[in-house]
Amino acid sequence: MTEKIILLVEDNPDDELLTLDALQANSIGNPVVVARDGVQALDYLFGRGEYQGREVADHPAIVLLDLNLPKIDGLEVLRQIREDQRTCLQPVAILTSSIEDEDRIKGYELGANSYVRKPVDFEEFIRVAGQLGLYWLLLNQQPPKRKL
Amino acid sequence: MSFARKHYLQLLLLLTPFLLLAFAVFYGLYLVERRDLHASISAQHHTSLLRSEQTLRTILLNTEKDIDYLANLSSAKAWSHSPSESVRQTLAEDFINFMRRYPDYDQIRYLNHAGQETVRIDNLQGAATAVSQADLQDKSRRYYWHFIRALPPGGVYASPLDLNVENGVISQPLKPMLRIAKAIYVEGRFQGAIILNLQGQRLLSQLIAENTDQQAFWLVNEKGFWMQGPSPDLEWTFMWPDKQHINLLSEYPELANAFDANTTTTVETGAGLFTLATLSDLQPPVNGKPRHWKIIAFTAAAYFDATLKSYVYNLLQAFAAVAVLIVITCTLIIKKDKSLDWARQQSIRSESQFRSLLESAPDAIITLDESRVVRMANSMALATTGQALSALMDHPIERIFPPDQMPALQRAIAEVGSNPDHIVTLETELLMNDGSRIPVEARISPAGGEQGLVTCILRDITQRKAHDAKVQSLNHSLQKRSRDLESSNAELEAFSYSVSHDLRAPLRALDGFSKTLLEEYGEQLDERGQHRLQRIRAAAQKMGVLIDDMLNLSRVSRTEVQRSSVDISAMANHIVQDLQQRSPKTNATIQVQPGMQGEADPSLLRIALMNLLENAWKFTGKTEAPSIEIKQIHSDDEQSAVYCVSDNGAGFNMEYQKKLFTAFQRLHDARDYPGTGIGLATVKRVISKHGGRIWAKGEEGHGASFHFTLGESV
Repeated sequence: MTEKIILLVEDNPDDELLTLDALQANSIGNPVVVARDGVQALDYLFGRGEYQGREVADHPAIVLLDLNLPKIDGLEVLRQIREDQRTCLQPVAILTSSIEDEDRIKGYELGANSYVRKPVDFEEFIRVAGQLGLYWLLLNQQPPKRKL
Repeated sequence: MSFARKHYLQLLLLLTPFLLLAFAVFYGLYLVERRDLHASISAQHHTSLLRSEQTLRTILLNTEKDIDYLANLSSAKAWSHSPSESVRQTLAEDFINFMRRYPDYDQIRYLNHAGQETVRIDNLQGAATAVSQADLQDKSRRYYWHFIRALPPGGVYASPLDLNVENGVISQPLKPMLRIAKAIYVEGRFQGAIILNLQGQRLLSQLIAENTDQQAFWLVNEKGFWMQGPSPDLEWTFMWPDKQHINLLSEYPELANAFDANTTTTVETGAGLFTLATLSDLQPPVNGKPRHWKIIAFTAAAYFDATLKSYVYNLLQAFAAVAVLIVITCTLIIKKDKSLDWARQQSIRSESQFRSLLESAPDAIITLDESRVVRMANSMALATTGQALSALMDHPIERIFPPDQMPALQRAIAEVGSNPDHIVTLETELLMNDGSRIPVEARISPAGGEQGLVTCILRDITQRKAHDAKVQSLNHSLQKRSRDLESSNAELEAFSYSVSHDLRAPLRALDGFSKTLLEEYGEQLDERGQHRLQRIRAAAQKMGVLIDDMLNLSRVSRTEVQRSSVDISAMANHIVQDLQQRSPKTNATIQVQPGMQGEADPSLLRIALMNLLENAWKFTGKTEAPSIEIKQIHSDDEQSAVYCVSDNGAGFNMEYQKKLFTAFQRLHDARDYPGTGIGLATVKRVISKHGGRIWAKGEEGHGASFHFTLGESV
């Protein structure tokens, strides 16, 4: 069994670093792949572009998806993940600063598995990141891999 | 009612000539009948008069013959020659025999030359009786003896017909008498005279016999005195000196003319119908003078009246029947006429109603015929076009419509004209008298009645047009404003979004990195450096809260209120539980009035309640026995329910009451009671969005109470 990968989709380097710090603070040592915009994220998931040839079936244990992204925004990324048969079962947690109702509703409509707001208080952030990791990496049973 | 009176008058006018005509006919009939009656009575008069005249003449004539006969009796001659008792006896017997044969005579006497009665036979109730010699009288002093004595040989004397007088007194009962005498001469010597008394009654009875209930017969002597008259009082008046003024002419002066005439005359006076026949030269003459009597047949007016009365009665009955018939006929005619009249009036009335409707219409109304000539126009049409009636009537409508409007108008008129159910409405223009144009709405519909007539209702829409333009420009500016608002809203949303995302991200970095710096490099910093890092973290976190509150406020502003029934008590309890979890208050008294219900947007109301309760929670933080109460109170000033959240916390100075609900305004030191100053502004925004009202009461150190209403649900 391969190691459970975390795909962090985040354009803000501060947030990226804070998230990595928060994961580390929770002793979550799983490999984290960072995509800095929507295109990179989709390239990774679909094994194309700079991730050409990557085994699509080896999907990350969780995608931590920011919404406000360059090129293709987070909701569009989610939509494409859900539209593709290969990735439609991919667990995706939206991790964002936005608390707009509209964003939340759209996120869930498009099939987000959870919606987490990034708190300003870092201690709070660490707690949230810990809970996310605990849940998605340890407690949650992944869907079985599919043969294409 | 003038209506009825008018018809009564009509009836009267119609009736009168018919009734007059009928009356004239009946009156004519009456006159004819009356004339016929008169004629027949008059004929009777004549017949009777003729008969009476003959009778009278005969009787009188016979008297002369009889006296001749008596004078020529042999006994009479013997008595004249040589009077002897035996001769006297014979003479008396002859006289008696004569009287028995002719009972009309009353007396037969022989007077000697000295006027002494020598033989006298009296008619005593039909029995001829010789008067004894002792009772014979000397008549030489009587007036007639004088005349007899003067008679020549063979001469005859006749007296007038008058009343018998015995011993100088008028005999009672009255005894009319005519004496005829013949003088007897022997060898030229007067020997005496035979006197024959004719009973006047016998004569008059001939006339009386002609009397009927129709006619009375009168006999008048040559001097006009009645011998047979209307009543006994009036008869024989010449016999009494005091009654001699009474005669026919004194009683009937109107007969004066007729009286003079010698022929038979008919005279009608108010008293009745008179027919007068003159019996001239009756024999024997009165003492040698002509005897002219008049017989008068008289029928009283009363008889005519009585006779005609039944006829008139019959006529009247017939007239009444005819009159009734006429009245009925005329009434029927009038009624028929009246119903016609009523229909006519009804038509006039409906015409006038139509007219007044037409004239009071606020629109110009014209009627056009097939060739688009104006056939009718109301006063509004004249006012709108500024044309005189004469300029409009019977002129083509080109006069009031500009040429460029005509094609569309003609099409509409043709369309309506050919289709009777069609109504066409179009906007066009009217050409005014002064050449200007006004916009009108023309509604063209069939006029009904004649084929091809159309009604055109023209409404001046100048004002409407102006209004439309105004509304349009208003609409324009509104739309622009709405677009502006929309774009500013979108900008606001974009701003909120970036606030939410982009402003928070650096804060997270500030806080996060400060934290890692403290944790990982804290040992290398002195206490002062660590404190400053803590202050950086606190400021960043505070700004995070501030941003969240602002976002909340902005979200409240942008949210549409969607009311539903809210269990306010349950909501409050839920929030209290939440707060208890976050920062427990063990010694607090928290009372939520059960059963509070309201119509509100649940999520907005929740934000408001949350803020109010958070405030109460916060400001009772330093109170020994905190008490928080949520209840519904009754207020006379408010129409809707008033809810109240009160506490016994720090309270506030009422002076600053107005500042309470303004964003970023704080009344307490942030070190004592941290906060952004946006909470109550958010609450006020929620309540305002519901159309409600919020107000606060408080006192420093003695708590605060917040009252709010939720407005009316629409």
